[in-house]
Amino acid sequence: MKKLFVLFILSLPLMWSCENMDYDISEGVDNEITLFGDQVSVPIGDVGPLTPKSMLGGEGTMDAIKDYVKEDEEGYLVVEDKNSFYENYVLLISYMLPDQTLPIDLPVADASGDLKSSAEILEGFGFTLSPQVFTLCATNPLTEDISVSGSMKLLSAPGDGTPAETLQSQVFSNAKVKAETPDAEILKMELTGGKPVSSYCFENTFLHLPASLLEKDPLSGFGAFSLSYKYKSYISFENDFPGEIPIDIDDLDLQLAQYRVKEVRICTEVSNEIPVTLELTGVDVYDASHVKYDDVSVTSGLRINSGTSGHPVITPLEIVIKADDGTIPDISSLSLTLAIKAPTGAGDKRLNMNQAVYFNKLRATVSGGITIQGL
Amino acid sequence: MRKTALLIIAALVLGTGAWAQGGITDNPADNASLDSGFLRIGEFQNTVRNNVGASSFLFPSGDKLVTGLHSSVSADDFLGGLKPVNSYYSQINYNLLSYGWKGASGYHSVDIGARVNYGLSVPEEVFHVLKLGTAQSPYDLASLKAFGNLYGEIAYSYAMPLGDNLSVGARVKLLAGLNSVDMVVRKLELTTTEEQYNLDIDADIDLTNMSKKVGTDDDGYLDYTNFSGKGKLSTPTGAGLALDLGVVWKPFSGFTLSASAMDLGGILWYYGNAGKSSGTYTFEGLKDLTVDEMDQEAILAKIKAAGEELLSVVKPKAVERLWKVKAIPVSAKMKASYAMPFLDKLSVDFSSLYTGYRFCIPYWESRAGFTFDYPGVARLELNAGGGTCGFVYGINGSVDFLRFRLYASFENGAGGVIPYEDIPLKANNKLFTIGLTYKL
Repeated sequence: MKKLFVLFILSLPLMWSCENMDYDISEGVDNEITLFGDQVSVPIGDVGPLTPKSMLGGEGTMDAIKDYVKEDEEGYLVVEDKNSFYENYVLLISYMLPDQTLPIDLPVADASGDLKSSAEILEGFGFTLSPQVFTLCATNPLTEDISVSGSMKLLSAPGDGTPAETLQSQVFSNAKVKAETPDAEILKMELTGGKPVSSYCFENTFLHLPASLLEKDPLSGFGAFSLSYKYKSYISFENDFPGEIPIDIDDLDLQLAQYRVKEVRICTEVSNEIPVTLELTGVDVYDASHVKYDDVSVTSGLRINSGTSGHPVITPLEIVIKADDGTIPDISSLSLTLAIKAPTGAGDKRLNMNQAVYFNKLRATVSGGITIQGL
Repeated sequence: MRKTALLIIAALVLGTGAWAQGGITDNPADNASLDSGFLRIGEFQNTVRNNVGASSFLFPSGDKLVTGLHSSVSADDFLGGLKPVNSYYSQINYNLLSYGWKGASGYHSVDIGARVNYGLSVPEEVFHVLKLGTAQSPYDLASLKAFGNLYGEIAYSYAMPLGDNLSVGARVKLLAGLNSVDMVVRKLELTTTEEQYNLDIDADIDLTNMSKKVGTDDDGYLDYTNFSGKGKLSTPTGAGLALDLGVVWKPFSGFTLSASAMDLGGILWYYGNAGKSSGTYTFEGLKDLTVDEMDQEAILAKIKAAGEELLSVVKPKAVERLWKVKAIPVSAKMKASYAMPFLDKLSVDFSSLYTGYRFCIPYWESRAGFTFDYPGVARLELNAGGGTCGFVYGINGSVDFLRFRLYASFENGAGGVIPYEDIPLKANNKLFTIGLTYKL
């Protein structure tokens, strides 16, 4: 009996400190780990600005219009035209006058012509020319003031079977041009909304010249009276861009398969100053062979609301990349379908190269874990 | 005779027998009953306590082992096996020499030895974040601690009887601090939302060494790759005092009640290489990332800048050399024994132990057992119980041969170990003691 007791005593430490062969680590431990099995959120940061300049600088649809538009000193996108329709040297006029000691109303030949506004091309891209500013300028080389009178009309382009429409007309009388002033603005007409100005017409125009033109400054005779116009139109986007724009992002090399991620949710607050509404209507995901993944879905129907300069509109945005079956594979390219819509709400709708889009508080939430090998 | 020899051999084979006769880790009042002097050399005691075992981190999956972070291991299985604070603690006591003698009115002894403590505590929240993610923010990680120290002891004990039934004893220990590294985290809060991560930290890293100096970088942060001077492990870098108090009461025949409070004190360490991490770091993503900079190099530069900003908060900044008093692990023990009336060599024992640490969760246990004591031949004690580390059992005893007494003790828990590694699979208290006493 006592022998049995001794054996029991001997066996105690063996019994409770025995080796459990299920835990034999001599063959190594599988070093694959899956982190953050529920979800992990990571703040990514703020990204921006994305400006029309950066968009126009790239290749694509927007690239097609950059030859027709300019950036003014304030950064607004404009189309401009400038032309002189009358020029006459003082010396020549003085020589032709029957009596130089009297003031004279010098008639100017009627003038008309087309503007180089590229309106049709721009309208084809959904752009609107508004507001349009048409300015009449005069140059006075004399040392005395002069004045100009006449009438002007701004016309739209004729349509299919319809004549040109007078968009605006104005009669001006004795508009003063100060002495020794080149290109003095003597009349400005602004059209907001409506059709783009296609052509102009000046009629019954007179230069009201003082007596003894060259008496005070004979050298001014070498100068010339001139009349010119300046046309400037801001570009806005008041109509939906026709159709949808495909944007292919081919240089991606997102090797996600190894991480066995099931879902990635990217959230951001889009701050948009650009008076354009953007809608992401479709996203397709492709593998290295450019075969579309049918079981990988990306949230579409995303909308970024329009803003205005200095008054950005904040739009919360959430994009979910989800593997409907299994995990997200390697992604080599994306094909986005973008619709550009007219801005909503009131306010300045002019496009400015400095208007910016910011993706603030950009963060990613990964659900289902991130698998790493070899830790 | 043959049976007796068998018992002696069994005890030797088991390496058991811890009737330490006033060992430096035992009740100082125990010596009051000794009637002769003793000389003890080389008592060695190794204690390892872990409130979680390897099976909390490794899981059999098919024919292989995976970690708790493997996808095949559910969060409940992994996190459910962890404790709020997961601690590993190790202590080595080495008693170089002890000498005891009986005086006119009491019993004296002196001991010279050394102790090594080291350990680590990791809060469950760390594994929670890794396993599940950041959805359940905020996380309090303040129980993250790491420590290690080495110090020498010179002790003087005095035990005396107070009447026939009561004995008291005290042990005064002069402590010579040799080296200490201590990471004290007072505050470590991690708040994670979709918009930002916020880390609030207040922690000290204290590293002693008289002669070897950790350098600093240009910004005043400790640079552990840059040392100057020659470090000597044996150079004292601290001094302290500790007190053991004990009492043994025998209110009636056969019954003994003993209680002791051990290691009441601490060490005044000189931390020549001290650092402090303090501040708040908020990460809200990579700021001012322009579209033009959306290339890998620019993003990496931003990430590096964010990392440096984090390091500027987390990295310990060198502080003036300072003195700090730090308590050593304190223990309280109580034991009740009752010798059987029908066989006075057999007693039934009940004991309990509490040990408090600054740097990890406290340890407690309660045990019941019995002891066979054949004076002059051998002594064997068996016990079992439970506590912080779950089920524990112990075997200790001694054998006497001429004037020599060889004693040993072995304590362990249930649950098995990793094959060939001796790493416990479950929470465990493992203690091994061996020593040799010569009776004068």
